[in-house]
Amino acid sequence: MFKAYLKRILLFMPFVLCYLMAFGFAALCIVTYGDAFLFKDKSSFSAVRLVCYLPGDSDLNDLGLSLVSKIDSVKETVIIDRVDTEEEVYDIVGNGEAIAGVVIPEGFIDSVFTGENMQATVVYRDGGTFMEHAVNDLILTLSNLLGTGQSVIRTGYDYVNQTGYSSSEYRNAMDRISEESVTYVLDRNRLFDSKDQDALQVFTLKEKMTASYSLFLLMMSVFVFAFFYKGNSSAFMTRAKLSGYKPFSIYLIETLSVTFMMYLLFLVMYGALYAVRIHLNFKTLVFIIPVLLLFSAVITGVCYLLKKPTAVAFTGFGAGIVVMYTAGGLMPLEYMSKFFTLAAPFNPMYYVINYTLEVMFG
Amino acid sequence: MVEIKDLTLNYKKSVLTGVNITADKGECIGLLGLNGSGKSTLLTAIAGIKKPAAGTIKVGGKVGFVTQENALIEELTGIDNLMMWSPLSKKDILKALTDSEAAVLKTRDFIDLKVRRMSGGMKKRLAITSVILEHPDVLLLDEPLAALDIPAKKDIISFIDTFKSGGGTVFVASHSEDIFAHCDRVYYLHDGKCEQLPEGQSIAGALNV
Repeated sequence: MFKAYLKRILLFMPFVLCYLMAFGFAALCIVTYGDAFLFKDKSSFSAVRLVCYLPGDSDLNDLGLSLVSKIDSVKETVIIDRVDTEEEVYDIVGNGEAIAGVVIPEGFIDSVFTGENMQATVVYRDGGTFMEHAVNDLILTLSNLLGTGQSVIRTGYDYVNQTGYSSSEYRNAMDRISEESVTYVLDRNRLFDSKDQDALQVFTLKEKMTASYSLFLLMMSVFVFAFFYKGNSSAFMTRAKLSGYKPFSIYLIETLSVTFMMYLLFLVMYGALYAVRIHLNFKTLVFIIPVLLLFSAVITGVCYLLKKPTAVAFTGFGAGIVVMYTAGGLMPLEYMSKFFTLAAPFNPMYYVINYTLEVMFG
Repeated sequence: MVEIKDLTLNYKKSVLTGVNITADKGECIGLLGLNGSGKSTLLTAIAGIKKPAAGTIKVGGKVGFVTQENALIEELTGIDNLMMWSPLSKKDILKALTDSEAAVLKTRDFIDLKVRRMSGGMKKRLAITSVILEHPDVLLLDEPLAALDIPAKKDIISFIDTFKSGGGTVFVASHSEDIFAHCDRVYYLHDGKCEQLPEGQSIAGALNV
């Protein structure tokens, strides 16, 4: 009997792999790109326009503008256009084409290094909208930060004067310091350990979807396995009984056979996920077995109750979708109504998903 | 031998009562009746699968039951199906197919075919062979000739004769007049009763068609 079932497993595997090809690819796409759909609204920002006049007397002006433009919080929100004259800034802001403007005076950079600290001019209008208020506040905050930077440099200048360094030695020292500062600003994570909550959420979502869609794929394999069972045939069971096999023995053999096939299916899925750089814990290969046993025991039981393979397949499909959906396995519970969030803990699949998530990603 | 006394069986929404049949070694008992008259249920009860509501069934020896729907596994070959149920090795099974009473069924000719490629006659002969390899003393055949061509019918009838002559007891449920000619007694199941068909009465007459 065992030999015959082993042979059947071998003969059945091509069908199982065909099933995986059909449904697995779709699931893999959802897992890989699902976050892009779910988080789409959070990655699109409305941009506002700023104008800026920078004199051509120092390359550091350009560097400063480039740095500000690349700051994450600025680049997604604000478009900074450089204009050729100071008057253009006033005109553009005045006629409402830009929300605000910045005018950097001639000799601004030199004034920083000599301690004169010339003032840059911020041109803005009374904020009529929340967006305008927010941008004005942002500009003023940056202006305050710039002033603080100037004060620091001024302090350094005074300190150097007190220690009797020459002006050229001072300039050399300042060049060195500014270079380091630029590096520091570019790599400012050294100062601020930034945590992007959305990125963390995306990562968690991917993990959860990988776990739940893997389970869903295994569960939906009922479409193939429904045709593997013989224990649902009364003729076969009569034959087995007269040959000395108890019904439970047949149930056990078939459950173990399907578990084995599901495991082979899972190995292929494990490899496919590895190929798309979703690395599951190695221990998953062992700890997934109880889940597979549970699934195949339930599917075998349903087969014995419903008898007809097509009835089993479609019942399994319908019930599987309902059970997975209400457990947050198809769509994260965070995106569903409060009812589902409250009801999920009453669904056993909710715990199976969490167990699998824990096993796969720790 | 088989001894059935005052048997009452509940099946579906009907009841079969007053079944009294005795079959000795080497005898063939035919069970005749319209669809749903309880023939298959009676065979299931003799096999010990279904418990009677009343009465007793005594069976001397091992029972082999060839059900109307075959219990074969379609994706496996004939020999794989035989090996599945038999404790014998492949070599011994192949030997038994030519040397034992199963030889009449000519199963050896198509033993390497996958079941799904076999004709209805081949499947039926394979199913009987599978049961015979377990050396039953009592053989129960449920509609063994249904939808078979003439050569297949001839082979199965020859086998029944061989099995009988070897001392085996056969119960066969059928609609086929051909097979009842080889039965020692025929019982007619109708209206929840089981009565022996008088000798010489035609089956068409019994069934009132």
